[in-house]
Amino acid sequence: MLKKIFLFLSLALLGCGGGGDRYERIDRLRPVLVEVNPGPTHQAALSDADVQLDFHFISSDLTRSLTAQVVAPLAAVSRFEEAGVTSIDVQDYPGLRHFVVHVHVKVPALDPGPAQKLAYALEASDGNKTLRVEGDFLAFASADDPLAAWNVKATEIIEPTVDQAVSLPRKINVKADISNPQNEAVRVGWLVSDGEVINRRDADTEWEVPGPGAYTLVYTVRGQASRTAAIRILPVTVQ
Amino acid sequence: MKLKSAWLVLLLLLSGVSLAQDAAPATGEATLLLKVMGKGSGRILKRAEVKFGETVLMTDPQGQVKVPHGEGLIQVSRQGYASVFVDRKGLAGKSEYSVYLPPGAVDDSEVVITGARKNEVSRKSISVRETERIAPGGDPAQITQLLPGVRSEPGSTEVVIRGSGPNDSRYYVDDILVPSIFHEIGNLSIVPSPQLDNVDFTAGGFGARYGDASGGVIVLRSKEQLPEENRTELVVNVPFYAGAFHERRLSENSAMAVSARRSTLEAILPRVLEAAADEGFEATIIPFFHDAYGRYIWKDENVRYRLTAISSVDGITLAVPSEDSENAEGTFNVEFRDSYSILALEHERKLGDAWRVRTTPQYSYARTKANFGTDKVYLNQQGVSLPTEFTRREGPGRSFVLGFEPTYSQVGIDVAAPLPPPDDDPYFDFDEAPKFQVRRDFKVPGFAAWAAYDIGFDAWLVTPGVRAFRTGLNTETSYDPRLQARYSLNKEDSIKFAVGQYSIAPEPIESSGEFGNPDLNYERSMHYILGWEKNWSERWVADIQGFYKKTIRLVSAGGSKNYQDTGDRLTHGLEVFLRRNMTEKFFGWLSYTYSVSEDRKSESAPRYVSTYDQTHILNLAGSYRISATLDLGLRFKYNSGNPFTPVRGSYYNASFDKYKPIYDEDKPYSERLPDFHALDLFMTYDDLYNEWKMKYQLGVQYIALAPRVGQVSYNYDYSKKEKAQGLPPIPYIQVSASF
Repeated sequence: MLKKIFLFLSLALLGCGGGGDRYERIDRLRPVLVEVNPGPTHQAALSDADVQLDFHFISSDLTRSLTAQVVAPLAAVSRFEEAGVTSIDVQDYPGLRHFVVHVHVKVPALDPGPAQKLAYALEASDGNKTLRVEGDFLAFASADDPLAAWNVKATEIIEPTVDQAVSLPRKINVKADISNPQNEAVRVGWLVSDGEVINRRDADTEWEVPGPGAYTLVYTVRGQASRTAAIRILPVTVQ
Repeated sequence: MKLKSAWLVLLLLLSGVSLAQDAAPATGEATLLLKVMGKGSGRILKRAEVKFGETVLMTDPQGQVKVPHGEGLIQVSRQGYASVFVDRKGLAGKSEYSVYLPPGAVDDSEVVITGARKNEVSRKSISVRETERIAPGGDPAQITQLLPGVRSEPGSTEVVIRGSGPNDSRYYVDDILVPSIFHEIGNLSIVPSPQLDNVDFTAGGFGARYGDASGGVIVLRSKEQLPEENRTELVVNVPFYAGAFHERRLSENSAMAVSARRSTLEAILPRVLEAAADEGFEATIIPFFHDAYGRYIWKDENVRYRLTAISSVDGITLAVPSEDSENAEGTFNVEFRDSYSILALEHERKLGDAWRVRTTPQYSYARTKANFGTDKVYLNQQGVSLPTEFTRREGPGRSFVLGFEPTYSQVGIDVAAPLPPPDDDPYFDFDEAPKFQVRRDFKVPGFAAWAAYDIGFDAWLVTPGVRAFRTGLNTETSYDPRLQARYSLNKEDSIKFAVGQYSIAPEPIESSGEFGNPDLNYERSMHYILGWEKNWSERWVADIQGFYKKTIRLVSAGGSKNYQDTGDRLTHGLEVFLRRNMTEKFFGWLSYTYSVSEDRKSESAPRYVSTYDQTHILNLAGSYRISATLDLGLRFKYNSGNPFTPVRGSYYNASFDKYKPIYDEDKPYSERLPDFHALDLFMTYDDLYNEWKMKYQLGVQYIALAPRVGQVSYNYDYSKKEKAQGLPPIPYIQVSASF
């Protein structure tokens, strides 16, 4: 049985990522991150709490706008008393448009005990395609929960630096610094307006650009346990 | 009176030959010692005819005969060989001379019928002489892929038999239970083919001797006779493997054989992949295997001992660019290694005129190591068993078999991997889940006993039997009654049927209290088979069978304990097997299977197509011998595409930064890959030297007559479905030298 599973796994892995599609290259509207504000300690009180969920989308089409609505998660009952889209921010970068959909939810009072996962879901459309985003975040009944202090939000792209003109060769070093005092397991992700990232899950890797031009580099990081997250976007000019 | 006359004639004949042999030296002339052997093998040919002038002599058991020097031609001939003429004048002054007879013309008149008529309704016995001519790679064990009722994946050696998964079947080398009989690559079985006599394949409805199986049984049967001569064979198969085999007669009663083989891909592939990387192919896949085999046999009229040692290793290392990589290269790495070693001593002895006993104590050690990314699953299993069978022959068509087999195994599991949460968490992710690390050992005692009685009367042969077994993995003892029957309508036609219960224990990991569900019962399958066998002529044989299988307590992943046995499976179908018995010139068969296999997860749930369903399977295989040294062959395979569950959408899981597919759970396995077909062409040429030969086997496998799809794959957000190309045509060259 195990043999079969692994052969299947091998074939499945070989079969993934077909069609010349590379995950890190943004060539259409894509959800990239959901941030929870103000952070993991926000439900410390045993009363209703207001939380803002920021859904980040990036599109390669600089002409389109975005609409979004909160929907019920696929396999979980929503426990929010209120949930709705409050606003959508738009900012353009070389070759990419960045949308932030702000969603306000009211989290009900939690029973004392360990942290709970609360599921959310959102559907967004640019008029061409509807995308569904699902996920969950942690709610704490007590601010004393050690996990409530975990946070990986303090992160920066340190290479290349802001406004640094990068010269060819085609491979550019890209590097991010993560403030991770709890040494939490994190998942990082690089996204680019064009080119290929050698290992987009490595905070210190290389970006192969097609040639001179203006590009955008996007970096995301998530705490696997805390569900905290951060995003940084950097325009890069390659000479 | 007749007997006395016969003796007299025999004595006269013997004396005549003796006189003829002695005639030459009696003249006082110098003599030549002529030794007659087969060309290409150096095999001694006794009773070869040596004719000069009016004198005819026969070679002795050493293949020798004394011939007086003189003039004229000596004709040396023997049935099955071409005659050789030797000019006596050229032999003047020589005291010894060897004559090598090449093989004779291809004879299409002699038909080889293999496999005595057995009462196991769905059993097919294929001799090694046959498999060498048409099996993939010429390997006997691969022949099962061409038989009716068998679904085999292109490029894989695992077989699905009548809707049952590969793990539901059992594989044996004689009486030795082995985890697998195939290597994953190279079209190679774990036993060297020169050691094998035939392959027995039973697609279902098998007798009480075999158990803990609900699919089929494949038995590699070793040669029982001692080799007449020592033999060594060296083989190189490009690009797959190299190996050596040697067998040796040790005494009048004993012989031994050893073999070792090793894949060559691990040496070749890295260079090929390095070159391919420049072309943009970034994956590294390196399959490998090696094996060793040894056998010692001692036998006389009443007793036989066979000591067998088998060691086999298969594995694959794989690195592919992956979105989920955690290493600097951006690859997801898999290492898989599956190995086992077995030592068995078979002892068979006559107990008086009617009884025989055969017992085969055996020790086995198996280890499976799987590393995927940063996770691992290691399984160790070692065990002993003592299958023992008493057989009483009561006369023609009547025999009674009573057997038992105590077993004892130790299973060790060492796992560091994420396990799914007990509830269906839609946001669970293997890559993100906390690691589950556990190491456990447990002991599994087991026992099986069986009895069967062949009762032949009039035109009937009926075999009732029963098998009881208990594995120690649960508290249940299974009693499986079975019945096979055959009725001969006339010399050419037989009707046959079988019905029986076939139970199989869940796998240790499925019934483990820590990893699975300890409340799982035996999967239980009922087989019903009705068949018609027709000998159209000495050369053409047909076998048509209808089958119906119902499997209950089907184990599947799911439920609160990771595994549940609430499901069932129905499989029914029809098989047609038309075979042209082997002559030296031509041999082949056509097999066709129509089958339907459906599962359901519980009694109240709807049925859906099983993952092992394959509606149509067609195999055509044939071999045509152009001359004594040149053979051409082909295989054509066509089967329905494998079913799969379609993806109807996807969502982005923001917690894990990855897309998750949304499968159409209302329609599991409701789509199929396009039908599969493949044509294999191959030829074998023997280049004969006096006492050794080179054998060249050339072929191309998986020739596509139209675009072929291997699997369906998706891009990272499941928005694009792609039909990935199947295996490309694979050429191979195998060169072997035997002496």
